[in-house]
Amino acid sequence: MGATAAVSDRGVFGVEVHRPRTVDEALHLRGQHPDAPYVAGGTWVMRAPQRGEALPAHAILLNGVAGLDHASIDGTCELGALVTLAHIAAVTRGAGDLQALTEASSLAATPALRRMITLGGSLAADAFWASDIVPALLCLDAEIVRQGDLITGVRISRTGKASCHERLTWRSGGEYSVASVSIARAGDSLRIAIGSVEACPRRWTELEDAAGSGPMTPERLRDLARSLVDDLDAVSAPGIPADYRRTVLPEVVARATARIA
Amino acid sequence: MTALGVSMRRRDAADKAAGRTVFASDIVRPRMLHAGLFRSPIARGRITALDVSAAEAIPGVRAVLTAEHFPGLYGVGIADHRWLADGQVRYVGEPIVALAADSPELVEAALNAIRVTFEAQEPLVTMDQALAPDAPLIHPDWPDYKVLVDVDVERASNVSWQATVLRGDVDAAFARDDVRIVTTDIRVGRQNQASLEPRACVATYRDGRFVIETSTQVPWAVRNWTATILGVDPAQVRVIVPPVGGGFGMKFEVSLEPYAAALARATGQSVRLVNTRADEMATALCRENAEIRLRSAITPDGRIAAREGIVLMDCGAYSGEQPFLTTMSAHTLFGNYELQTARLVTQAVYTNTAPTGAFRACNGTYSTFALERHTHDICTQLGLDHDEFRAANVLRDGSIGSTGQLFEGSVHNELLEMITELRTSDGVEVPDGWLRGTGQAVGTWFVFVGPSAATINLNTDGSATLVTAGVEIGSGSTVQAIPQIVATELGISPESVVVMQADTDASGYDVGVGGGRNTVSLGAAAQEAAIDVRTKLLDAAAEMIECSAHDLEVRDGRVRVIGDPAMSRTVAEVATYAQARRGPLIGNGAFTARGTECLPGCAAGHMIDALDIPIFTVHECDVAVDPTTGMVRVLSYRVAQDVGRAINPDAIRGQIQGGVAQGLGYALMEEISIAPDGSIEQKGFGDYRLPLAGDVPVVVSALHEGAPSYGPFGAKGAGEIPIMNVAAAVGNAIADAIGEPINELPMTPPRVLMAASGAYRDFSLLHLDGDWHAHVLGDIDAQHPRG
Amino acid sequence: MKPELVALDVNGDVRYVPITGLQSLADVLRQEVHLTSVKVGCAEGYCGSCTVLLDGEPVVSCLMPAIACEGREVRTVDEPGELSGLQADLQRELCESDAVQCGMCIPGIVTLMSALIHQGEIRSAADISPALVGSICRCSGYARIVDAVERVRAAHAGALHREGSS
Repeated sequence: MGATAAVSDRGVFGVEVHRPRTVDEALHLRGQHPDAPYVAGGTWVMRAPQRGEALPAHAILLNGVAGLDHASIDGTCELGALVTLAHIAAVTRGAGDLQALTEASSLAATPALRRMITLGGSLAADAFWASDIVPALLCLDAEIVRQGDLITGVRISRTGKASCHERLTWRSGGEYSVASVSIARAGDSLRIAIGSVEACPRRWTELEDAAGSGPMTPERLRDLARSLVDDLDAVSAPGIPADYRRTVLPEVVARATARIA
Repeated sequence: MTALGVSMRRRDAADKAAGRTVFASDIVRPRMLHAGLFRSPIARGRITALDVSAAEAIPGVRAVLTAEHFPGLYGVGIADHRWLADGQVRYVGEPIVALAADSPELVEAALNAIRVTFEAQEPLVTMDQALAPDAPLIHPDWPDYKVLVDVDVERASNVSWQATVLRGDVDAAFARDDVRIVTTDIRVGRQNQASLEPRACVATYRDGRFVIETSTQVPWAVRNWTATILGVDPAQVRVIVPPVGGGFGMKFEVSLEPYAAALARATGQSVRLVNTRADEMATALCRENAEIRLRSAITPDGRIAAREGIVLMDCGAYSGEQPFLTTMSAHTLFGNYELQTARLVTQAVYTNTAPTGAFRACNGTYSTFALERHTHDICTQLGLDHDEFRAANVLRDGSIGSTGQLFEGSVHNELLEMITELRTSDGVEVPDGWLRGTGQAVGTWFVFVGPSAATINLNTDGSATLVTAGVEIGSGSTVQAIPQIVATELGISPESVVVMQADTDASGYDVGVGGGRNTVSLGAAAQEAAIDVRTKLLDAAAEMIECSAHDLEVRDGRVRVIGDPAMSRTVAEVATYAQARRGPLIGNGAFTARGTECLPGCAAGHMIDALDIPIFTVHECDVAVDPTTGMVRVLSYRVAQDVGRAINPDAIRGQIQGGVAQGLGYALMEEISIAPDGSIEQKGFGDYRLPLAGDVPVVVSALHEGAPSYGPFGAKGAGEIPIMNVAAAVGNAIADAIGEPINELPMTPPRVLMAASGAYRDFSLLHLDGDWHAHVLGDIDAQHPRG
Repeated sequence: MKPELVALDVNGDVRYVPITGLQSLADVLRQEVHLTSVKVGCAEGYCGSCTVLLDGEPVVSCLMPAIACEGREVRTVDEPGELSGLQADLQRELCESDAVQCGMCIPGIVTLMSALIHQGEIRSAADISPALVGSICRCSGYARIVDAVERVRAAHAGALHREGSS
C-alpha cells in the first residue's frame, strides 16, 4: 500500500476527501497525506483536469474548519484564510490604504467565482501566475499567518497612505489579466508588485529602486518600466506572446501610477 | 389580422427561462448507460496494438467497441471518414474505441484501462506542410474513395477537393497597360462554434430499430449516415430532436450518434453520450483556417478588369463539409462586385488536425474579410474614394456574377444608401490617446435551399398540427416564424398551430436547419401544405354554406363569404363537417431548389454553380484602437440587411444582434492555434475568448424588404448572414484608425500592435507565390470548356 | 472511491444523495436530484450556466465540490425561495424582450442577476455588463438580456424606494 499512486487517474471521482473540523485535525491529516492539497473554495483543484494535471488521490477540505473566516480592518487588517474575495472586497471597501486589495478582490474572476475563491486558496495556488490578489498583498507588505504548513490568514499593518490595483484584460473582464500592477504608496516611496507577467507574481523591486524617491509621475514610471521589462522572464500563453506582456506592462504601470498620484 | 410581419414572442421562451426545457444533454432513460470515447493522443501514426481487455474486465462496463463495428465511410463530397480509427490515426482526438458502462465514473475508469501502442509518424500540421511536393499522403487510399456527388472534380494527394472559376481572358486583362494591379494576402484562423450545449445524444435499440434523441441540426442526415456508418438499413434508424442548445453549424453533420447507437444495440440498454467542453475544444468542426491571395487589375475609370484568386481551406484530417464549401468562394470572395474577367482556384487541403466544418456563413466570413480588405487596399493604394468605388462596382440589376449568373435588383446600392441613414454622431466617446476609425463591408450570401417536406393536420377543434423535420436550434424560426406562415395561410392564430418535434418517423425528408434555409425551405413546404389543406377546407365550407369555394375566404378562425361576413362558419365547424363526410383534413407540401442558370463552363468542381436566392448585406462600424496595447473597442455598429420579407422583425433583429456578436468574437478575440504536435492549444473558455456582455455594442439595423425571392411571401434566410461582414467591417475600421493594413484574423491586440507598426504592409504568403496556373490541379482549360 | 450518502438541503428539501470524491455540485444536482435546470456549459466556471444559490450566494456549481455543501442551503432556478418574485419578473422581461434564443445560459443568468439585484450589487444600468462577465451567451449578443435586467432592476429599485419613503 505504501506505493499507492499519489494522483487519481479517475478524475474527481477518485479523490478521497477528508473533512477536518479544526486546524489541528487538518495538520494531522496533512501529516498522514503529505501530497494531499488543502481545498477551500475548490475553484483551483476542481480545474486540475483542464490544466492537464491529475487530481490528487487525497484532498483535505477546509470549509468545515472553524476560526478561519475572520475579517477585520480595525487597526490592523486581519483576514482569515477562508474569507472569500467578495467578503474581502466588502470589508476593505473605502479604506484608501487597502484599495489595491479592494480592487483586486472585486475585479478578479467573476461575481460567482468571487464568492467561492478564498484568500487561503489564492495564496496556496502557487502555480497561479495570473493571481490578482497576490500582487495586491505583496504591495501592501502583507504578512502570511501560518499554523504548521497551513495558511490561516494574513495580517496587514495599515501604515500606508494609498494603493491601487490595475489589471489589463482584453475583454470587459472575466479572464486572467494580460498584466496586472499593484502599487502602494508608503512614505516617499512606492511598493510595486506585478502579476500575470512572470511565472509567479512578485514585487518589482528593480522598478521600486529605480523610482527611488523621485517624482512619481506616470510618464517617468512608464519610462523606467520600459527600461527594465527586458529583464523580466515573461510567460507566453496561447495567443499571448511573452513579448506582448513586456510591451504593455509599462503602460499598466503608468495607469496605476496615475491613479495613485 | 394577419400574423405576417408581426414581432410575436416565442412560445418556448418561458420554459427555457425557467430551466424546464429538456435538451438532449438532459435526457435520462430507464437503465441508461453512460458512454465515452477513447481518443488518439497523437496526430498521425499507426496503431500497432490495441488492448481493450482490461477495460472489458471492469464490472459494470457493458460494451467496448472498435473499428470493425463501424464499417461504413462517411463524407459530404467524398467518403473518406471511418467513424473509429482503423489502424491509422490522423488527428489528436480521433476516436479509437467507444464504450458504455453503468456510470460516468466507470466510463472514466474503463477509458483509463485501454492500452494502445502507436508507431508515431511526423504529422502534417499546416497546409504548407501538406502541400509540399514531397509530403506524405494523409490518405494513401484517396484514389479509391467514392465521390458522393455528381460533380467532375480534380483532386490529388493531400488536396481533397478543388473548385475553379474561369471567365474571360484574364491574362489579357492583367497584361493591359492601362490597368493597375493590387495584391492582398490574407490568413485566418479557426473559429469554434462553442454552442453552450455540446454535442449530445441518447440512443436506444428496440424492436430491431435504433431510436436516437440527439442535439442536431440535421435529423435526416443523422438517420441516413448513422445507417451507412453502421452498415444497416436507414429505415432502421429513427431520429428525434429535442430543443437544441445552439448549433451554429457544428451540428450540421452526424457526430456522436453512431457510437451511441452501436453501443445501444450491443447492450440492449439506452446509452447516453455527451461531449465535454474539452472534447468540443479539441474536436469541434470549427470554421476552417484558410489562406487567400487576391489580385486585381483596376482600370483608369475604377472598374475591375480582372480578378484572380487562390484559396486554401484546411479541412483537417477528413474532408467533411469542405468539398461543398469550396463552392462558396466563387459566390462570396468573387461576389459583391462586377468582374470583367475572373479566375479562382479553391482547394480543401487535408492536414493532421481535427476536421473542420460548417459555422454560420462558413467561408463567407473570411471571404468577405479578404475581399473587403482587398477593396480597401485597392482604394487606398490607388487613391480612389471608397464609397464611390463600392457604389460603382457592386452587383446590380443585370450584373453578371463570377460564374455567369444574372443578378436581379440593385439591392447592394439600396443597402449602401440605407446604411448611411443609420450613421450617427452620438456614439461612445473615444478614450484619450485612442485612434478612431470607420469601416464598411459589403457582402453577398445565399439561402441554402434544397428539399423540405411538411404535413398539416387541420383538427376539428380548429387547431393545426404542423409536422416537419424542422429543429428548433434557438433562432425561433421553427417554433415561431413557420407557424406564423401557416397561420397566415389558414386564417387562424399562430398559437393554434401546434409544432411537432422533429422526428424522422413522422415527417418527410429535410436537409436540415442551417444555411439560412429554415424559414425559406421548410417555410415554403409548410406554406404549400397550408394552401393544400385550405383548399380542402374551403371546398367543404362551400358544401356547407352552399356556395362556390371561389367566393370564400378564411380569416380570424372563420371561413366566410367574401363581402358577406355574416355568412360564415368557424374553421372548427368546417373541419368537423369535413372529417365526418370526407375524412380528416390533411395537407401536404414539398419544396426544393428551382435551380438558377449560370454560364456553361465557368464553374468546375462546384456543387452550386449559381445562387438561387442571393442575400445582400452591408455592415459599418466605428472603432477606437489603443495604440499602446492594441486593444480595439467597437464604438457603434450598424447593419442594413436584405431580408426579402420580414416574417417576424424582432426575431430577425435578435439574429442580427447575436450574429454580430459572434462576428466580433471572430474578428477580435476567438483565436485557435495549433501546436506543432497537431493539438489545439486552447483547451476551454479560459483561453478561448468568447465575447462577453461588455464587449458587444447595441447593433442598429435596417431591414430591406422587396428583393426577389421565391421563399414564402418573399422571405429570405435572415439568421445566418448577420455574422458574415463583421470581421471585414471591423478590419477596415482598424485599418482606417491605424493607417496601416491588417491581414490576419483574429485581430487580437498583439496583431493590431504589429499592424500599427506596418508589419502587414508587405504581408505575403510565400507558398501562394508564383503563377496562378501552378496552383491548379489538372488542365484548367479542359475543366472549363467554352463553346 | 465509494460514494458517501450526504444530506443536502436542495430547494428546501433535505435529501440523502450519494456523492463520490470531489464530484461537483452541478453533477450531483443533475444526476442525483434530476435538476436539469442546472446546465453545464464549460465545467470551468467561465460560462455561468450552472449558477445556483448556496446559502443565498450565487456560485458556479460546476466547481463546487458537492461534499462541501453538506449543511448548507442549495437553491436552483426551480425553487428560488425569497428570490422567487424577482426571478419571475426577470423571466417575464427576458421573454417579453425576446432575449431567449437557445436557452442554455438563461437559467444561470436568471439566478445570478436576481441574486445580485437583491443584494444591491447592481445599482445602475452600468453595473450590469460587468456583473455578466461570468455569463456566456452564444446566441443573443447580450443587448436584450442587459435591457431586461435593467428594467427589473429599475422596477425593483423603485419599489424599494417607495417602501422606504412610505
